[in-house]
Amino acid sequence: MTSVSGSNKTLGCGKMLKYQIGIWFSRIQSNIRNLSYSYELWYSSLKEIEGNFGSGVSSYFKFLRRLFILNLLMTVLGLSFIVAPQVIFSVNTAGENVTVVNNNVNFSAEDLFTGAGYLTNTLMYYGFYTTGRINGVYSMPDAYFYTMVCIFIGNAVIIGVNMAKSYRKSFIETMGGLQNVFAHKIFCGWDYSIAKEQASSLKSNAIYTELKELLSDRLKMRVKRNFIQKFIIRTLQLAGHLFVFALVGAIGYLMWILLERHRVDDEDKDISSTVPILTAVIINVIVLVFPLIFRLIGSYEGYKSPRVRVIVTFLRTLLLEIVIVGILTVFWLTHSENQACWENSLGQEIYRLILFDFFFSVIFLSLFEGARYLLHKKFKSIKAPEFDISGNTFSVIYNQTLFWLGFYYSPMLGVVIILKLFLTWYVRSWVLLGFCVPPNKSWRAAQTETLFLIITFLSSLLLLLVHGYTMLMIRTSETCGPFRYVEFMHQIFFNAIADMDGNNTALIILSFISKPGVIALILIGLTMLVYYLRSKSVAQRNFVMFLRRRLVLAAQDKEFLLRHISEVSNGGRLIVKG
Amino acid sequence: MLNISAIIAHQKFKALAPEKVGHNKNAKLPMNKMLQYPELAVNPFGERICKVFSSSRDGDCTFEDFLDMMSVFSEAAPKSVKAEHAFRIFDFDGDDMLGTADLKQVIDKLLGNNKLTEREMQHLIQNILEEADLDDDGSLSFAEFEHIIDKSSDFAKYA
Repeated sequence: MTSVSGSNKTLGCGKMLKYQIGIWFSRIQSNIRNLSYSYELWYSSLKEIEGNFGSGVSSYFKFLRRLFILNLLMTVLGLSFIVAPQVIFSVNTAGENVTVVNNNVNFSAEDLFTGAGYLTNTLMYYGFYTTGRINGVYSMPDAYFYTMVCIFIGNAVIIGVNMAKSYRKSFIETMGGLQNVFAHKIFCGWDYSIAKEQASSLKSNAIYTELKELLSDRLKMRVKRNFIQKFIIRTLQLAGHLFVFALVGAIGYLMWILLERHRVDDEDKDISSTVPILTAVIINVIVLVFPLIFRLIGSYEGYKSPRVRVIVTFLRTLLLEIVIVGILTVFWLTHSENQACWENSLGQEIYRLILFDFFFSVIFLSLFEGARYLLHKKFKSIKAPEFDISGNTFSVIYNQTLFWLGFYYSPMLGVVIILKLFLTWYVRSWVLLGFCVPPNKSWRAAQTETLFLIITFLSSLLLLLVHGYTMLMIRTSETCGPFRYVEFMHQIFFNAIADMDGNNTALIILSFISKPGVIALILIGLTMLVYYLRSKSVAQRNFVMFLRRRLVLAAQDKEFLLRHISEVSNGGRLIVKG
Repeated sequence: MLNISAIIAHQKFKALAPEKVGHNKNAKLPMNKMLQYPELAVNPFGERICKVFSSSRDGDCTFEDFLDMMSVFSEAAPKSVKAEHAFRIFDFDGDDMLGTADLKQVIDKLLGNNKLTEREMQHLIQNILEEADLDDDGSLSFAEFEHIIDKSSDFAKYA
């Protein structure tokens, strides 16, 4: 270890203060971190899952928890800046006829499933929110617009930061010459705070499963194939891809037809709830069944490692998700012109999908697994259910994408989603601990988690684009919602700028930043920064390689010398001879 | 602050063997008594920890040894101190190097009742050495060990 530097100079007052503050600050930081560890949500059940099922399964639950917290944050913001003011407004102006659509429909239980009927004209959906100002100060359209924009951008930033962190940890830091996965597992694997016999054996089991996973991963990479086998497998894989694309295309077409029919139905008869529910059910059945089909296809394509197969299946399922959400969005956006309040319709559609997704992918699947477990107890030939990590994670990501799409049109959807994720956690962990056996597939938990995060981030970016497009290009409904007096949603922002007078500092800053020269300068600066960092990292990597080689050489020198010394001390002749 | 935590530590120490410590403040507790401390009882390296911290090197600990142990395992202890002690805990044969035999023992203890096959064990040790043994001499020196530990955030957190 390095010795303390020899200078005897005492520290100056300023430096002393600086260090003091630094120490103080890092102490606070570590205290907060400790506190957050001890109050971690669902910590104990997560540990139990980790100990029993390995880090792969727990990565699903960690992901679920991450989304739960994120959604909680979004919902709280939405509730406090959009819903609560609207409630105050409604109470203040009670008696005046603020809403255009009549609210004489009585509540019925059916409405909970369709999301329509009585619910149409409540706080649930975009259409209910007003254009007014509360006490002449708090403008609802502004609040709605800026809150949503901030939530969505903040959301993408949070996920982006998380993704970058996790990417750095699981990919970059283990890259290059040093890959201390195993050493890390062995030396830092034990949790020294464990004080219970049961927890201890769980931890042992977890380390055991993880080491097994890692080892089988390493061993399987060594299998080689010859040319003809390779060719056959490539062809099979190509056919598989084409088949999947055709399937997904067909599903997209089917969905479009379904949506058309139910809209036509809407216009013919006033309230018919069967068709919308049927649409939601069909879409959910597709979402439930097709990943299984994709998995079946994947198992015939002969991928080398199970991880690649899982990832391919996962990406295909993701394609399905994108097509479904995409068709839904495109349908409602293209039909926005001749719809009374298309924002509400889209919100309701999503509400139904999220609700039925709960019935299918949580309740139904759990019942299925429970039944399979009972059958397994009776007849040993039936295998006990295995927890399908990629399938379950897909369903959570799909659900999250739907939520991001729907949240803009239904600020109360957050409450629904939080309830749903909350129940999902308990139902799934209960089913897992009660009925499932640990998966025998190899899972690199950290990398899988990163993959999930990357996909979530991409889908949040995609939705940012969708919402941006909607704000810029799609006409708002004229009869409902906070934006009914503007033609496009973005006008809330640009009208506010246009209303500023020329001497306003914000306006001056804005117009300065939006000058082409400034933008070009910023872009060039960013590019240079990226280039600089990139070349720095390459140089550092080379240097590490160089140092490593030198270490090996030094060790060889040492060994050589030691050998000579022992030779000399055993039979002293050697030197005399020379 | 320090006094209070020392008093708490002494209470814990006393709780392990009230009759002994009650009579003699400088009593030495045998290892089997020490291993009744909950965190040590379930720790696969419990015995090693006692031996490393015991001033007589046989696992029997005085209160001062116990206090040393608590301060090294506390969250406030610096990483380098922890690394040094961890190295001594893992170094079963005491030759200041983590050789293949040491690694094998560490892994065995860590896995508890689960056993790896001979082939897996060899493969695992080979992988660890490939990763951590920078100078290719077949065992890990303290510097190499510290290098591995340094990259880990978990180590500072848990150990």
